[in-house]
Amino acid sequence: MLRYVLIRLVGLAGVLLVVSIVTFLLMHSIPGGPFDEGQMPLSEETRAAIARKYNLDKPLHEQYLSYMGAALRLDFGIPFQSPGETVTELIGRTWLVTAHLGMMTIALAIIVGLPLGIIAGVKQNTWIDYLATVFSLFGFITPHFVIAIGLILVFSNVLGWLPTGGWDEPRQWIMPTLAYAAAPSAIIARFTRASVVEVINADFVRTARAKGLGEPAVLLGHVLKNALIPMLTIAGPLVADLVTGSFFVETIFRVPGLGKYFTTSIFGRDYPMIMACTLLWAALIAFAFLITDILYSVVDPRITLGREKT
Amino acid sequence: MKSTGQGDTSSGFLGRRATRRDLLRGSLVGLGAVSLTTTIGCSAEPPAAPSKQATAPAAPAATAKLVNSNGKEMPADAAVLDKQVVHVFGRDSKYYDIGYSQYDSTWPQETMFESLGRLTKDHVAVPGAAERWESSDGKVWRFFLRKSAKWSDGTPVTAHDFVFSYLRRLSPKTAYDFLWFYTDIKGAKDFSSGKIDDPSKVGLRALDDYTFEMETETPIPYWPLIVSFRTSSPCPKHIVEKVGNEWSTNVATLIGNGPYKADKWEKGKRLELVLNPGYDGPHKGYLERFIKPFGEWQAFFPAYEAGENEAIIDIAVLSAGDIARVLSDPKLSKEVHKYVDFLTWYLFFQVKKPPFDNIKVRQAFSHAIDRGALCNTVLKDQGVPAYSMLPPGFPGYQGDALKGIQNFDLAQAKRLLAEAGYPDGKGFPTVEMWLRNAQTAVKMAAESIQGMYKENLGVNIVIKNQEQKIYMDAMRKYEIPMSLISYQYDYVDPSNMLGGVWHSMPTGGRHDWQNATFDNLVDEAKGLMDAKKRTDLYQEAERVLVTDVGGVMVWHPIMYQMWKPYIRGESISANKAGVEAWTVGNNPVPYIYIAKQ
Repeated sequence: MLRYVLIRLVGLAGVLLVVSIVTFLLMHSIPGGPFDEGQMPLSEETRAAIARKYNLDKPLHEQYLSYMGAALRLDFGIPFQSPGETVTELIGRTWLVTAHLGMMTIALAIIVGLPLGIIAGVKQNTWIDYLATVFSLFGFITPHFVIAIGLILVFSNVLGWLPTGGWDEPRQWIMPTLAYAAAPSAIIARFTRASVVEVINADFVRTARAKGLGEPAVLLGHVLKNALIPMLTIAGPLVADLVTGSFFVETIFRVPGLGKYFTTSIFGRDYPMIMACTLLWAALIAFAFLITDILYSVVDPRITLGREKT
Repeated sequence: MKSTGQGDTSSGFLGRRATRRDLLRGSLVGLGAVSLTTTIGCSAEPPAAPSKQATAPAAPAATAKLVNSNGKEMPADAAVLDKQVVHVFGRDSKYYDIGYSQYDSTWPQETMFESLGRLTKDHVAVPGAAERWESSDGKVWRFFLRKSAKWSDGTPVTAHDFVFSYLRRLSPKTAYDFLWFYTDIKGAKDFSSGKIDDPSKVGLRALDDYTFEMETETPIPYWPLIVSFRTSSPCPKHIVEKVGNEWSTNVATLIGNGPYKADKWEKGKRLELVLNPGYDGPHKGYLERFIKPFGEWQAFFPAYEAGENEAIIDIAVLSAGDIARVLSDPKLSKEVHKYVDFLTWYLFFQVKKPPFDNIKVRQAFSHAIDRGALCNTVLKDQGVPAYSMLPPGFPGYQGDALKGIQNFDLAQAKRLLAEAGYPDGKGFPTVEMWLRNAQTAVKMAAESIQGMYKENLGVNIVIKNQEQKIYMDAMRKYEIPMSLISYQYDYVDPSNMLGGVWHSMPTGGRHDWQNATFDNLVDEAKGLMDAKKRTDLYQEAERVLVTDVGGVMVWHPIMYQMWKPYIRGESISANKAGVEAWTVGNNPVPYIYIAKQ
C-alpha cells in the first residue's frame, strides 16, 4: 500500500510538470498581456516598458524555468490582479472562504441528497420516487446562477429576510450554500438511488431479511454500507470541485473567494495566478483520485491496490 | 500626524472602530465653528454652496446649525451625522495610485486625492490643490498651491510632490498605461522613451515649495482640464520613495491629499473612506463615511432594490430589461437619471485594404444604416442617432449640420455600391464585423446593422464578438476588417474625440484611416488660443472625417444611473445642459449628502 501511494505521488509530480508546461505555453499563446488597453491601444514603447516591468521581455523558456525554480521554493510570484500581496497570500486568504463555502455545500448536499436517494431507491417506482427524481433533475439541470438570482429575488427583494450578498455574518452564508448545493445534492441523490436499487435486490439483502432482521437494520447494515461504494467514485472529484469554488456563485453573492480568480486570471492575463490556480486544481483532483482509490480498498476488501493484486 | 479632536490615527487599518459615534462627538466639538474657505477662482465659478440656498428661513433661531466632523456646515435638509453614510457598489482596485496605472485604479480614488484643479459638473476646472493658476501663452503654466495643504499623514503638500508625481508618470520604469494623456508636456516623449534621462529637461519645475510650473510643447488652451482630471492627482513623494510602487495597495500607506481618506480596505470585501480631518481645501465633504462594497455588476441592481447600496453609478449595469422595468415602475422611475453620454458608437474599417479602401464602399455603408429605426427598436431608450463623432452637448458639436453627410439614403447607398463595382452587393466579399467583448444591447445592435446591410446592400457580414485583449491586440495591428466600437471622452475638448481618436500615427493612430487635411486641421486647431477659430477648425476637421468616412457614426448611448431620492447635492443636480449625472471624473462625492427622510 505504501509503495503504491509513493508511486502514485511520483506520478502526481509528473502530472503537475506536464500541466505546468501546457498551461504556460497556452497562456502565453493568447494575445494580450497583463496591461489594460482600454480606449487607446498602447504604443509599442509603453508595451515594451510594461513587459519589462513584469519580466515578460525574456524568452519563454527562461521565464518558465525561473517560474518553476521559484515555485519549487514555494514562491509563486505576485498576482498581477492584487500587487500588494503574494500569490500564496492571495490564495490563502480567498481559499479559506471558498473552502468554507465548499464544506457547507458538501454537508448540505449530503444531508439532502443522501436521504433523498435512499427514499427514492427504497420506494422505487412510487410517487415518492418520482417526486425525488423531479426534484433532483431540477437541481441538476438548473444552472446555479439561475437558482442564485431566484433566491435573491425571493429572500432579499420580496421577503427582505436575507442580504443579497457579502461574507461578514452567517446570514450571508445561507443563499450561496443553497445555490451551490443544488447540483451536488441532485448528483448524490441520483447516484445513491441507483446504488440502493441495485443492492436492495441483491441476494445478501434477501438473506438478511430472511434471517429476520428488521427493516432499519437491513437498510443501514446491509444496503447502505454496500450502496455507498459507488458514491466514492463521484465523491472525490466532487469535493475537489466544490472546494475550489464557483465563479457564478461567488460573483453573484459577492463572496470574496478563490473561485472567481480561475476566470478573472485568464481574462486579466494574470500569469502567476493562472499557473497557481491550474496547478492547485490539478493537484487537488489528483489527490482526490488517490484518496478515493485508497478508500476503495478500505471499504471493500476485495479491491486491492497496485502490485498486490497479482 | 495632525492631531484632531477625534483621536484619529493614521494607522486606521488596525482596530479603528465606531467612528460614527466618534464623528458625532467630533461634530459637537466643532459646533458653530464654521468657516467657508474661499478661493480665488482662476477659471469659471467654483461650485455653489448648496447650504446657502437650502437654508430654511423658518428654522427656529435656537436651532444650532449642523456641522460635520471636518467643520463643514451641513445643508438645512441634511439628516443627522450618524446617517451621513453612502454605500456604492463597485469593483475592487489593484491600486488607488492612478499615476501608476489608470486602468488598475478605480473610483473613489478621486476623493482621496486632489489634483491641481477639480472639474465641475459643467466640465469647468476650478481650484483644487492649486489656489489659482496663470499662463500668458498657453505653454508655460504656473500653479500656486494652497500652502496649508497637508497629506493625510500631516506632511505638507508641496510643488516637489507634483514634480515627482508627473515625472513618475512619464518615467519608462513606471510604464504608465495612460501616458498618451501627458505627452504634451515638454520633453515628455523623449523622457518616457528613454531618449533623455535628465528630468531637468522635462517641462516640470518647482519654482519654490508652493509654485509648480508646467511647460507644454505647444500652447494647450485646455491644459487646466488635463491637470484637473482625476488621473492627474499627485502621489506623496515621501511615501513612494520609502515604500515603493506598492504604497497604494495597503491602507496603512495609502496617504492622500483629498477630502476623504482610506479608513479600511478589506480586500475582496470593501473599502471605507472617512473625512480626512487634515483637509482644509475648497472641496470638504459632507458625508462622514463613504463605503464601497466590492462586487461585480450582476450584484448591483438587486442590492440596490434591497436597500444595501444607495446608488448605481457604473454605466451599463442596468440591462435593457432592467431599464424597461425601472422606467415603468412608479417608485424606481423617480430614482433613475438618464443622459446622453459623451460617447459615440461607430463603425470603422480596415481602409488600407479592399474593399474598404474604396471611399464609395465606405460611403455606401454610411448611408445604409437606418439609425432612427435602430434607436427606436433594438436600442429603445438606450441611444440617439449619431451623425458626428462629437456627441450632443460636447464643445464643437454640430451633429445637425453634418446630418446630411452620412444620412440613411437607400438609393444613394445602392448607387454608390454599384459605382464601386458591386451592384446589389454582387461580388462583395463576406466581411467580419468584430465586437469587443460586447454585451447584449451592442450585440443586438450589431445584428440589426448586419441585417440592414444584407437587406439594403446585399452584403454578407459575419459578426465576431472577441475577448477584450484579443481585440485590442488586433486593433493595434490594424488587423480588424470592420468593427462596431465606441469611444468615450477623456476630457471635454474636441482635441480628445477628434484628434486623439482619428489623427494618424504617431499622435493618434487608433485606426488606419489617414487623411492629411484632417491631420493638418486638428494639428492647427489644438494649440489655438482663439476659441472661435479653434472651434471652426475642429468643425471643419470633423466634416472631413465624416465625408471621407473615417468611420460610420451610429449612435450616442443614453446612460442610466440610479440613486435614492434622499441622496442630494449640488454636484449631482442638473448642470447647465440639464444633465443629472454622477460623473466619477468630476468627483461629486464631496458635495453629496443624505437628506432627512
